[in-house]
Amino acid sequence: MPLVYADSSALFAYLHPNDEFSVVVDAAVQKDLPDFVYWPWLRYELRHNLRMARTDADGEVAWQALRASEKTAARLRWQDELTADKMLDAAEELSTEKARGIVCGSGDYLHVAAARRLNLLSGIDEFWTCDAAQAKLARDAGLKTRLFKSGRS
Amino acid sequence: MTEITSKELHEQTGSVLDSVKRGQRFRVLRNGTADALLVPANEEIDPSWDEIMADVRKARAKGGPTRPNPILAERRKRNYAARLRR
Repeated sequence: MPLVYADSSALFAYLHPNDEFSVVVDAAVQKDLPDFVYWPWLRYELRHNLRMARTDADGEVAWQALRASEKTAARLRWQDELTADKMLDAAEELSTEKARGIVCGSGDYLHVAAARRLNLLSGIDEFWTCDAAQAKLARDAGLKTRLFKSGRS
Repeated sequence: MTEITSKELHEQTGSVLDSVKRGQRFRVLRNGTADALLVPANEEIDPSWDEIMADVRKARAKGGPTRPNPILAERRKRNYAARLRR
């Protein structure tokens, strides 16, 4: 199973049946069968957005799928190395290197810094996102990156 | 799946682990209750994405309008620096 760092935009799209990127992200998962990196910031951002989406049956289905995948040891692979304090330092370092050239939010820098750190420590296969600016940052940080384009109808 | 008591497991640990290595699966009973499973280390025990996502895919198949990704929407709203550079 490849290990992929999917940022919260991609994981939300995968889990929510009506998201504009849902179809394209699900197709990629069905093709590559990846397991995903999981750590505190990603968990918080994903859970927060899925909680807010629990306003109808589709939001509830998405929430239940998240909870089922969190119960596994493999589909969402918890990374002990990616602690919040260490990753804030890593993001600070990445920001120092890139922020004048690549415009992205602070949360985006945190995702890419965590992926870059994990890639150095144990290797990841790819970085997935639905966010063009973040994809640019990830590529610039040396990560093999996949940017999803909206299949919005 | 073969049932085995915790006493039997204690007395025959080596041969039970040899059997597990060959692919046999055991349900370990303590006081008649199943407390643990022994499965080969190379066997998948977590559910697959297909199993986890069955209901999500069913909901998607119903169709209906798609919605903007909320995380991208939030990032766009907060991206002051990009607006300053325009």
